[in-house]
Amino acid sequence: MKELLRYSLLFSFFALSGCSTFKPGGIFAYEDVKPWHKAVLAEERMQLNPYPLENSADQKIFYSRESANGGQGIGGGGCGCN
Amino acid sequence: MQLKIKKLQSDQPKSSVRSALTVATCAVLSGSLSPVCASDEEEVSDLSKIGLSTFYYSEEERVSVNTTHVAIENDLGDDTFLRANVIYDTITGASPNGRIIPTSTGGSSIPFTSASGFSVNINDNGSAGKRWLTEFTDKRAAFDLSIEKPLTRNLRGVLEGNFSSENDFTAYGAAGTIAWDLHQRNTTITSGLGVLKETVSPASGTPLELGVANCNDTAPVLPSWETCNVTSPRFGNGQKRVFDGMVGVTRVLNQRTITQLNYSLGVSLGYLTDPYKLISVIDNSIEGEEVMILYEKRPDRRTRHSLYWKTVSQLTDKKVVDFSYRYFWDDWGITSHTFDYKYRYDFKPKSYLQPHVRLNLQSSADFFQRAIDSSVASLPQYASADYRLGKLTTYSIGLKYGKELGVNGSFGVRAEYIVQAYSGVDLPDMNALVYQGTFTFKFK
Amino acid sequence: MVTENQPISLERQNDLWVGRFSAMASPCELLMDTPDEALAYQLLSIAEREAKRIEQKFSRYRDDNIIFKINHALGQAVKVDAETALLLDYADQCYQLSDGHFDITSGVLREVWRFDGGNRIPSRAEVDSILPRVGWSKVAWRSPDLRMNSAMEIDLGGIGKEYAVDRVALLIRPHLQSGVLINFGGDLCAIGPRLDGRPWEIAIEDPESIDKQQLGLVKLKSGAVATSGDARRYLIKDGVRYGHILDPVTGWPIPDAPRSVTTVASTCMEAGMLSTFAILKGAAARDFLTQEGVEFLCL
Repeated sequence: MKELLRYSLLFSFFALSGCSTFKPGGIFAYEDVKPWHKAVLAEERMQLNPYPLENSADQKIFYSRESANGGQGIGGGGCGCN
Repeated sequence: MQLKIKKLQSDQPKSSVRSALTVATCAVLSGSLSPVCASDEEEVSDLSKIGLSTFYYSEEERVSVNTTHVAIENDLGDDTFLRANVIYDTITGASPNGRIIPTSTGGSSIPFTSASGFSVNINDNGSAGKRWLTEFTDKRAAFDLSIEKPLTRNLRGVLEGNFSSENDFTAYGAAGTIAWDLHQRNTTITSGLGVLKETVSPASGTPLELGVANCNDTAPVLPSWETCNVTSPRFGNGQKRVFDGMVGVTRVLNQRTITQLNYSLGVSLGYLTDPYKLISVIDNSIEGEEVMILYEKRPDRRTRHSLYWKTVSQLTDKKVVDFSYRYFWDDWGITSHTFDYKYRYDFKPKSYLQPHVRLNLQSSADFFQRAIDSSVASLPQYASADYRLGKLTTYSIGLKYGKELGVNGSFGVRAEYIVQAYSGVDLPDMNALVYQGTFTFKFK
Repeated sequence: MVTENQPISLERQNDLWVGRFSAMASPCELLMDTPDEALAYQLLSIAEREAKRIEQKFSRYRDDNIIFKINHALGQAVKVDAETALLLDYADQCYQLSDGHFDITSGVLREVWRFDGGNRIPSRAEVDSILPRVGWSKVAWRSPDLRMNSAMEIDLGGIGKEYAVDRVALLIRPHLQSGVLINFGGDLCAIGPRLDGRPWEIAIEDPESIDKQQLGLVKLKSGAVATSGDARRYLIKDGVRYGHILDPVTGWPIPDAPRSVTTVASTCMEAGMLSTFAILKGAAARDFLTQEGVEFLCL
């Protein structure tokens, strides 16, 4: 548990390195976005799965080396990974 | 399955005020079929994409995998897409089979000759004297085909069929997902269902679970619940049915950030045991020496849950962060926390470096045990010594370099270093290196 | 610029037929690369007729058109025709796209702002007294019905000329697919390059310089060029220059606005609106145009 806490803190530090996260201009600052303001969100690198070839490889590695799988979506098939 | 969250109302180029204005002016002038307006529309769609990847994974003294992946996306117009993936792997090496590692003070090793499956070659004493490893080679081919189509103005559906085949394993399945866009496409609700049928067919059939694989006749005391019957019966193929469901919400938080939360539920039924995995029976009165080897046994049902949260945010026009957390739990007692973080830095307009770190903390399954003590009164109902069901931590760190080639192509190379450490078991850490090269190309 | 009412004329100049007339308070020109005089005259007539039609229909200076009807409806709903509806929809979209800075109801601000080169700027109180009469969001527009407070006015002057250029281009195209340049007082549209494939060369001049120094050259094979802003209309008080582009949100001139912005786009309406948006961004004009990938010239 202590290990989990330590890693969560480390992770939060990395993840929320865009400071002032909830203030306007921060990562989680909420605003109602109009359709013509979606230029940034339309970029390839801003998609939820921007590197499908790498993602597919990673999912296979971790499926065959860990017991917890999935979460991102449905489908993709099975694997008799040993 | 690929369900790309719909980017904009149409495939708009980067400048959105300008493109919105083009659309607006064409609306005023459209009564007269302006050629300018007509040509603007035609540029946008009908680009198909092909992606190629070559991937090399290598564990120190264990398994190596070589994979080639071809991904094709065909734009059929009207926001309808046909996608296909073809993946071919070759796998060689040795994997821990669940037996304990002998202590340095020795003790005799029990030879293990099992009915060898085509994909599994058993050496008497395991790989180079390491009897806790089993060597094998395998080739795998997998294929999936999916179609994405708009159902109504705000509803999209994806239907997929998949198939994969290895020397001793076949799987096929289907899945469907629906995405519902709300709030001017700032919110998307996704929901999906998938079914999968898997069949494992070891060369001489599946073994008797918790049946004897081999034993040491000369051991002073054998457990009361087992006799050294080395001719354990074999059975037919192991069949498994898997059902998965998912519901998720994706939300645009601001002009630079999008976030997604998914809940998934999965049920696996049937033959969930790994027919190649073993568990040692040890006698503590003779320094934990292995006296017997049994086949493992897992329940015939597993219910899995996961909560997955991902956020992608652009900090500046050069920096994009992508981080996710997954909490997983199931009825086998396994829980897991997975943290993933990627930081993309575009040091030139079309080139980027992306470091990546990942951490996975997993607890062990209720029925996981490193070995069975020969002095217990009776066999447990289920037992597995498969390290993947045990308490482990996986650390990975990697770096990717990517570059756009002109308007329609891009390539990337990456390397990752993965370490997996085990708690409460005697296995040494696993170290692995990953190298991957990818190339994508758009064409008409 | 002084525009006398120029009668319609057609001359041969530099291997081109050049037609001229006056409309919408601007000198209008039609350059045609064709040897056929009869065709040139036909196209000129089409252009002049359409320009005059649009002027008659949408000018706020007349008392016999739809604009007058809307501005004097005393709060009653007015049903507009299809063409007017399209333009009002367009004005509505531009209002949204500019976050409210492009506003066809902002004309009433001229009652307190008189740009004559002098130094009389209105007081804050005077501007604040007009502001309640400005605001497209206060207008009830639902195609084809428009209803508006009787103290408000709409003015399509910000889009009329560019619309006329594009409409003339549409009407000419079936007759001649290449070699025509339309120039309505600096708002241009090229229908195809010259007959030998050469682009039209458009010189952007510094309006304030006496010898008309050339600041830039645009080579146009097809597409449009538009300019916003006018260096001649401003006020100076206490050393501060107040340009004549007013921000309808504040009622005051846009601070640090470039004196003029020239943009290139595929239609004149688009070029015109992009240059207008740029000016409305004030000091951020250049960044806006660069980010949108627009070819431009900023003064």
